[in-house]
Amino acid sequence: MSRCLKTVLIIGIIVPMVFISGCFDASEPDDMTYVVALGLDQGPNGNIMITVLLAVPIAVGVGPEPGEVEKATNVITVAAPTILGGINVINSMISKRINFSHAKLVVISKELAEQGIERFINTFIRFREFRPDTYIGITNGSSEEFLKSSRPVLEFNPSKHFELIMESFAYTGFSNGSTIEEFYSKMESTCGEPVAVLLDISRFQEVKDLAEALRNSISKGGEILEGDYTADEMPVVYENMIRQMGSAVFRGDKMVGELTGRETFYYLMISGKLGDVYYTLPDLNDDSENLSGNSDYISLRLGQSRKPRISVKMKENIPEVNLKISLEGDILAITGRNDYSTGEGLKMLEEHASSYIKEKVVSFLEKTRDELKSDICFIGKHVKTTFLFWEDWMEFNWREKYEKARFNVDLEVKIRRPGIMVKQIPAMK
Amino acid sequence: MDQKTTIGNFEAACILLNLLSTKIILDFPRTASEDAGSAAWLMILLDSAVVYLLFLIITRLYRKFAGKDLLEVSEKAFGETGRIIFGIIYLAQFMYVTSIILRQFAEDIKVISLANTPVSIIILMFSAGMVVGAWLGLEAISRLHVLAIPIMAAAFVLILLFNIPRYDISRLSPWLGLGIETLAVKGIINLSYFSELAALFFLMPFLKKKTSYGEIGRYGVFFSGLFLVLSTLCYLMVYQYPTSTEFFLPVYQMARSIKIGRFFTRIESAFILIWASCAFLYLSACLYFITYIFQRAFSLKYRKPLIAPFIILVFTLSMVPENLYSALQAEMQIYRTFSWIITFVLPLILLAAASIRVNLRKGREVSGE
Repeated sequence: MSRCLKTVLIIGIIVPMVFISGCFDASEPDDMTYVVALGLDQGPNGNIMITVLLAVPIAVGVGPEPGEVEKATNVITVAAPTILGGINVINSMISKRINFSHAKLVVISKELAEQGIERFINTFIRFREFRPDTYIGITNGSSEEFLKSSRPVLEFNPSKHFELIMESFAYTGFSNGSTIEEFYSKMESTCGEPVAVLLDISRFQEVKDLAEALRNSISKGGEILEGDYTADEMPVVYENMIRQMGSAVFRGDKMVGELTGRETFYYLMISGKLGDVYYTLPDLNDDSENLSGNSDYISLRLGQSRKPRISVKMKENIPEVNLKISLEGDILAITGRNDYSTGEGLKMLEEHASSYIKEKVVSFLEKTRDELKSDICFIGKHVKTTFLFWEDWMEFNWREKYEKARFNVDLEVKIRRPGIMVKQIPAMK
Repeated sequence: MDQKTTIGNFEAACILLNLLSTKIILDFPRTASEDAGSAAWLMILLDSAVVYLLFLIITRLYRKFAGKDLLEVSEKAFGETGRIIFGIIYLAQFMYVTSIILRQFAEDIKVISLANTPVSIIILMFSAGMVVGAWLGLEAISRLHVLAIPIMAAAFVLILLFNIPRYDISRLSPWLGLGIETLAVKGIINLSYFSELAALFFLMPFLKKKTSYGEIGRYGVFFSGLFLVLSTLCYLMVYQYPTSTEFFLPVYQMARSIKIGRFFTRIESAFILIWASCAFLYLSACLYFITYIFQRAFSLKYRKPLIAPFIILVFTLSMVPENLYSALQAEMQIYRTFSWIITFVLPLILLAAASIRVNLRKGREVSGE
């Protein structure tokens, strides 16, 4: 082939690349509107109410210029039989096209969750615009109200606001950071059940409501520590009314119950997902009171020193679950007059923390077995590894067996550091 | 010009590795998991070992015919008619797999990236690349393979490494998956995962060192086996059976889920680039082999004039399946059931027959003397 013909051919191939690339799929980011969060509620006549929280980029801020938080989002609600059907309706009335590729959160109402959410999860997994790491949450009330109540205060960017809130479980231990892909995978699993983040709108408007609510809870169930709440009960008064605490527990695709923030902490601990969190426990001297006559507490920073070891033995067709959990932590604060920073005191504190947390872990596990009937900690996977064939495993029916499980918990807390004090001298009475 | 072309061992091994491993970025880990459940990785490991052994036997038999492609061997075994018949068989195999894979690549790109572009346009774009590759010949294809394969292998390994936080060995249990019988039966059929090994038999005349085909094949089978086993193993450690049977493009799904911090996400965009390069190399090499086999089977003087009719044929065949599912079925239920026979059984028969005929002829010559 002549050199000239070759050159013409090469130019003929390269030049059109510049002009025809993306001609069918060309899409300008400016022609899109990005969903930050999606809400699903039960609607009339078999429809679902689909609420989208849209980002308004110009209000979020352009370049270094900060935007206006109040106008950074826009909420639209539509009734339709399917999610994407509803989105089509919204697309027909707004100037931009809805895109889910930056969605951070899917909120589903408890009412829908109790009926089963497989039909929605399938949409999220199949439709490529949804990212697998989008968080999934359940709210007791309406998801529309939840999204409308979202008023980011410390963050201009609504997308980052939701992302940071959802990631906070790593340092609070009060939530679980469940994503749609994780949820889907667990929903289909034969050896465990899924959980979702528990979300809600606060019912406390003023500080006086708070005091009343706390009095009521203490009179009902004795001692209440931080995290002993679900999202709506959190004793907090804050401009942004949305709350995140606890977990929504599922059996298959149906929601069967809730865990409080503290129970979620135990869930994370057994699942091996616990980060470094603050944990408060009562002082080991029952009668310990500080100068003002209040109960005394010890605050620790707790984390896992190693992944939990779980083994399951079948005894007379009953699973006997042995858990060995190793935690380590630092002393952050001691409100009482007793010093546990060194020597014998430190040993006593370790023993006290171990037995206190162990008791709570056992009662959490019993709740998953008796009340929720849901193996959310995936203890079943340790049984599954003892099987050779899929057919035998399916016949074994772990779900049924879990309801009779017995738990032996061996929990050890090691205090590594006493904070920046090595001893605490009590004040004069 | 083609006959003067020679390629080095590494180049040949790269072509072979790409031909054997491209299925990883298509549907491979999923289909393996459909066949053997949680033990899919074990099935592929056993398949790799069996293919390695089969290849050792073939290498031994091929020793007498070093530097000759399989069509020359078939001519020695069954004469000119044999060469034409076996040429048509191998041509059909390459035509079938090329058109199906072309359609799959186009459909996959449509699903994950170019949703509004007609599939015929995407196939046309791939076809243009194939024509350029086949036109420039084996030397250009092999050099591009040498450049691209290390990058693609590194990208693949990175995807597997970034998924480490999500691995859970317990997801591989029950360890023998759908059962020993299923492993054995499906394992035999799935020897077809290595069916592109047939390309080595047509690379023989182009090798610089004619006797190094065994080494190239062994490296090709070893590394492709390693990649196939690793991809299945890692995929199953992330998505347990039966969820593992649901994802259309397993490795793409794994890439989609990578999240390291809040900044290092959505790396599948890079994956698409690598993925398209892999497709171009695979398809160009296949079109080259199609024209080469036809030329050799019918003893034609020129190869390049065949490119135009064959790309039209491949394009048309790739448009035959009604939808993506039909294309997948065409590969899984037809191609994979028979291609292992064409790749492993036919060469063994041909080599054995050719050896016998050569020995007989030698014997006759000796007795004639």
